[in-house]
Amino acid sequence: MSENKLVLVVDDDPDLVEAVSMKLEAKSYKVEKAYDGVEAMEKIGAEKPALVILDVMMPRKNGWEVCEEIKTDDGLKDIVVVLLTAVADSVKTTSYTHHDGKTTLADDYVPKPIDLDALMEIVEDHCG
Amino acid sequence: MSAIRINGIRVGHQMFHCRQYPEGSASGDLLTHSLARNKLNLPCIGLEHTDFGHALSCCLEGEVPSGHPEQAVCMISVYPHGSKSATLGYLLALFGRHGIPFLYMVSSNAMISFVVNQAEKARVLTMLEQTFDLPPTHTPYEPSFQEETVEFVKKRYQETRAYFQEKRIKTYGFSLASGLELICVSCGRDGLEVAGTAIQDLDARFDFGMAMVHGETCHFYCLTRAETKVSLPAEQSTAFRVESGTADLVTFHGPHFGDRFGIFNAAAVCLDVAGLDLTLAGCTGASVSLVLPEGQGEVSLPALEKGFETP
Repeated sequence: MSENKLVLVVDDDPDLVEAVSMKLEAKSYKVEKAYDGVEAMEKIGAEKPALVILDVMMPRKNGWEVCEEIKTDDGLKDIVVVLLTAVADSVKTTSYTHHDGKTTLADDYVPKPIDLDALMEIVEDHCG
Repeated sequence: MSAIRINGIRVGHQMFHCRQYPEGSASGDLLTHSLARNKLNLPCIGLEHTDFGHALSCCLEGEVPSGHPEQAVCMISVYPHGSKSATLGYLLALFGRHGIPFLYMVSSNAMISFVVNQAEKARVLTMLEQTFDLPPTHTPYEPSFQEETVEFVKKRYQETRAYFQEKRIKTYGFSLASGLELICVSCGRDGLEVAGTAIQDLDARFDFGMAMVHGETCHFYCLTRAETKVSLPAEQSTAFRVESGTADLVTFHGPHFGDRFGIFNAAAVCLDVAGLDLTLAGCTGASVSLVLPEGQGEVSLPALEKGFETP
């Protein structure tokens, strides 16, 4: 059960944020929205969400940087991070390093274009 | 009335405006066909069916033709609109009150986008920032990806950006709303504030909104779920024409649709092959909205699935 846990949805595509938020709200999650990495970090610091659904390619600060800031901060590192990525083929594990130097400590990932139902299952797995 | 709260303002980069006049433009002859063949992206499209064919307004990425600075435009969007007719109408009334012309307006699930002349960009931004309740740290931004990320992705995963088209284009799925109330208000530019206020006063949820400007005439369309009646001041009613009917709406969006060529055209071709005709259509951001005569929405889904993939 979601027990009204707070989920932060971060993507620079407002339509995708809206679609994901509607699904989450239908499952009784509380939802906060952010549209770039800077705004996301502000809301993460202020609201301490249980889970962050995080796009990778965003203006001002990308998802990799946001993920790293969360996972290297003792006060935030327990927040679950689910990456939305169009480059999911490169993600062999959720704690990976590949030779182009991009690393992530995300807890899970969903390839784009996302299957909203699959995303909801992942959220429930982590928040249930 | 207190200021309407929104989350942000998005500013597109400079593009040039292109218009197809309705005479002789059956759906099989849309300008979008040749633009897609030439791999030209159209980040914002408005299309309406008229008695003479389809009228199309779009923005093209690329250099503005020399000697035609009036064609230099940009797209300015506010989000999220929360499907509130109050926000939609308020925006139209705002443009009317400030006397700022726009070329067309299109909504998506979250955004309302106006295409304005580049010369008006600063005025529009000031007007929006002074009027809406925005988050304290918000600054209007032009979507642009960090160079390092772009280079990384393009090098390894070229298909994630704008430079290709799949045989079947990936989407996040189609959404169909049948039997919606379609309202059309036609007026002169000087009637925009009154028309916008009337839409604002509907106090309804809207599924799609679009405005097309032809010379001094503006056609404003609004799709709502409940039967609604536009109420105009009696002394001004002759300056407006209000029509209503029913229609179906199909919406879909997909990854980086706003950056990629040929998405709308692929939908138009699918519908044309199936003998279906568009009443209205609009694209902005990563969303495509297709308005069809009532009863054709259901039929359009299998037709669209021939060109598009759903999860």
